[in-house]
Amino acid sequence: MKFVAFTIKNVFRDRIFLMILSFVFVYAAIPFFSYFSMRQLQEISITMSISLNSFILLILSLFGSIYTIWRDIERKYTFTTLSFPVTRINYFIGRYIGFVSVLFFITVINLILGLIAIKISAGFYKSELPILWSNIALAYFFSLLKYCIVLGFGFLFASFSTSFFTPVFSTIAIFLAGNSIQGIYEYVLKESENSSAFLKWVVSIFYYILPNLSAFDMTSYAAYSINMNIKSVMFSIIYFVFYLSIVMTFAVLIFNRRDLK
Amino acid sequence: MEMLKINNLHKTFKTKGKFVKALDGINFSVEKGEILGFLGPNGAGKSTTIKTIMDLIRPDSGNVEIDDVDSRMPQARIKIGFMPENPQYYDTLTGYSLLMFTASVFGMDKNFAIKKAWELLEEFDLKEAAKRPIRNYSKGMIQRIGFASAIIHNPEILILDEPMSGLDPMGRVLFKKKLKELNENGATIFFSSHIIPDIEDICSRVLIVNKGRVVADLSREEIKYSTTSGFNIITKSALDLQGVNFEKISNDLFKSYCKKEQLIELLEKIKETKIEIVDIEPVKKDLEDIFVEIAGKK
Amino acid sequence: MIKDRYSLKITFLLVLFALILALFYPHFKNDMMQRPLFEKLGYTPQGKLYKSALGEFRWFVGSYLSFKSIIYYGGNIDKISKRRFKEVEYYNLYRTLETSILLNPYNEDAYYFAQGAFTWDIGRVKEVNSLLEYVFKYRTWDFKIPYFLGFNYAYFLKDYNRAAKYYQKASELSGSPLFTNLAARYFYEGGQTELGIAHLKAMIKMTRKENIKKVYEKRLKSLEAINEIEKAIEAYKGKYGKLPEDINDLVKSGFIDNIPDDPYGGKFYLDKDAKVRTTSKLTEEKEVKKDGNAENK
Repeated sequence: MKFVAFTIKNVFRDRIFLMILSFVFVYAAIPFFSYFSMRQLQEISITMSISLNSFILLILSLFGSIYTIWRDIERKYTFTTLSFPVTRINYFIGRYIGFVSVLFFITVINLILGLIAIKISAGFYKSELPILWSNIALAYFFSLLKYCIVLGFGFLFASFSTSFFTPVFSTIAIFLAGNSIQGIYEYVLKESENSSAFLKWVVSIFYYILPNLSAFDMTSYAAYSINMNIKSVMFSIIYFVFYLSIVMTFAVLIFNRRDLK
Repeated sequence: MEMLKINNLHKTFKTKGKFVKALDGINFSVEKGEILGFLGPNGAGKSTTIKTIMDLIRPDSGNVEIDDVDSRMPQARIKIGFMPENPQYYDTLTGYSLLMFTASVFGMDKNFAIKKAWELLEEFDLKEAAKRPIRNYSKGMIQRIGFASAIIHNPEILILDEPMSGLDPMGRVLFKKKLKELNENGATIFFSSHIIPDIEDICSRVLIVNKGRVVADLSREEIKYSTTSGFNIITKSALDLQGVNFEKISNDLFKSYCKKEQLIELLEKIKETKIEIVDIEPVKKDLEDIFVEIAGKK
Repeated sequence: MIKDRYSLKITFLLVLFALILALFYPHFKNDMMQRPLFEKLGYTPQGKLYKSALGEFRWFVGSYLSFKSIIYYGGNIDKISKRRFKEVEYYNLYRTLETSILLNPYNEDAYYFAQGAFTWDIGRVKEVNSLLEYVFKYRTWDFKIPYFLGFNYAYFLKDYNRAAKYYQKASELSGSPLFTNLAARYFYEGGQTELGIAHLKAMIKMTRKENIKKVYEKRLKSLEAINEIEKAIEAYKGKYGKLPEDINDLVKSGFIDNIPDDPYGGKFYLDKDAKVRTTSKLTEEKEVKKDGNAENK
């Protein structure tokens, strides 16, 4: 697990990373921005806080694989790192967990900043809804889970791709598809009776294969203080564990067979 | 005792639909305590062989054993210090942190590692640059820090891919000296090069590879002989000998060239005239010519 | 063979995980279908694709679009209070707001703003009601939505059955009898103007934005003026048993001190049925057709 610490240390030394991280300063703008709202300062500030965290995590998770696996191979860093007495699996998973730790760290910072911003915003105007801090924290946590999956896909694509674009754009595609698949599935299967059987079949296949990222969107629960169903929360977590495991084992499998020229 | 055994490796790469045979049944072994040079032109399969030893490339068939452990097992690499060709290191790392990272991966005791790291930095003249990021290093400095990182854990086997490219002549001399010193302390060394003098100076044995196979296995003396085409003899004055041209190279120095078979004959003649011989220097062949020669013999 | 030991192990794990997930997925799917995020709606505005593509950012974009609408409206408040509605892009405003509500149905600003901007001035009551009904599927706790709906049905559309139903709901949600009282007053006393006054007063109380408050206050003033005149007419009728022929009869007979000013700059007069009219045509907009759309003025 040397690579975990190694990844964390090096990410925080990197300029591009620090640039992306500087987005957290946008949190300072949330109270001002939410002030434009007529009557929902609190709700808007919660939505904005969660979205901002998501946005930062999205950018980081899109480039996470580029930043670690792809660059290591491209710049031939792997010749050094993999010449150590460690397995490739150890290296790959270490890199992944290292980056996830970075995401976790950022989520925690964002959560703290977000809570401050929400508190300030909520102070301007009394909302009829209570603030459920636990829901907000859980929404942040689920954002983290979501981007762990996105990051996992980045690692998967980087495990076999030699180009810069494949991991980035494939991951973006997966992200978009994963966000909308639940909606499309319900639309095709329930609403449009006249859609063909073949289309339904194709959509169902994708529904099972693509990551169902809607499962991790808890924004409305946080912003509008809707009670979370424990069962749903647990189901999302179980889904996360197994889905991510599949993505990562698949990635490791490919990476383990790759020739590093 | 065989520290490294390369058994019948085959590897074909597929690039853009084309198949390129990189290794075609390469077979050799490295004995404990020797310095084995791996000589061959670019594209001969040197790097592919070395990367296969390091498990960076997986062969289509054949295997590698490092001290009787299959190279696919990570523990096989515990005994190895490796420096790739034109090494690249994480630009955020400093020279010192690279050494410490290597030491920690090899499970070295931290205090010992710190001591050892500073010794190496001192020895390779990197002390001032130790805390600077590697991205600001010159090519020679990167080569030196890479070498330091390959030997910090006192490996039993040192595998180096083109270690002397990027070094200036002075650097080469120091580097060869260091290799000899490590060898005297018990390290087995295996390194590749496409430059003959780099290899014949220090190697106890040389393998010549071409087209993914070992084409010759030569002792140090054999390599010296077979890579020499003739000699330049520097004398104090010119002499009138049939078939020999003396070329004036300064006021009182003259140079003549003879093929290596004719050396004795020429020396006899010079001896008779009592002219003072200043120097006799061997003239090296091109690597390409050696391959032609070796191929011709077979 | 040593060569494939790791690959074999990993492949085994992969198959195992896939199997577990496959077994778990049907339950997960059922759970996903029940989450409020995907509640079905009979109303299908354009922004569906938009919603899918934005993923979770739709919450934010939804809020952003309603800000945009409010800021645009605020910037045109001058034209609106001078009743120059043609100069305002109402249609675009409506589409923006509609998309905003679709993206983030929980957004309170959006429906609140729709109620304020599209009912009184341009009479798009039916559209506003469908938005409100859509939002009400999400904001099930919010009494203001049925309150608005009830008001719209009663005041603009004169559909008293539905109005009563919604007022009832608003009362249940808020735990306050105010809304049933309002409704009752309307049904039994026929005080349409008073209903409007009570509604506007409630709206002013709920509104934070100063300039939007002013729009309401101005309208409230005009309704109060009309109410005053109407009361005088009632009193006149009670005493003389006939309707006044001219508005000045009310002053002459002492039921009102003087005819109040129309805050929109017109002059009040009575038509042949003794309905209160004004030269600023303010009162015309109450004559909303049954299909919910007033003629464009």
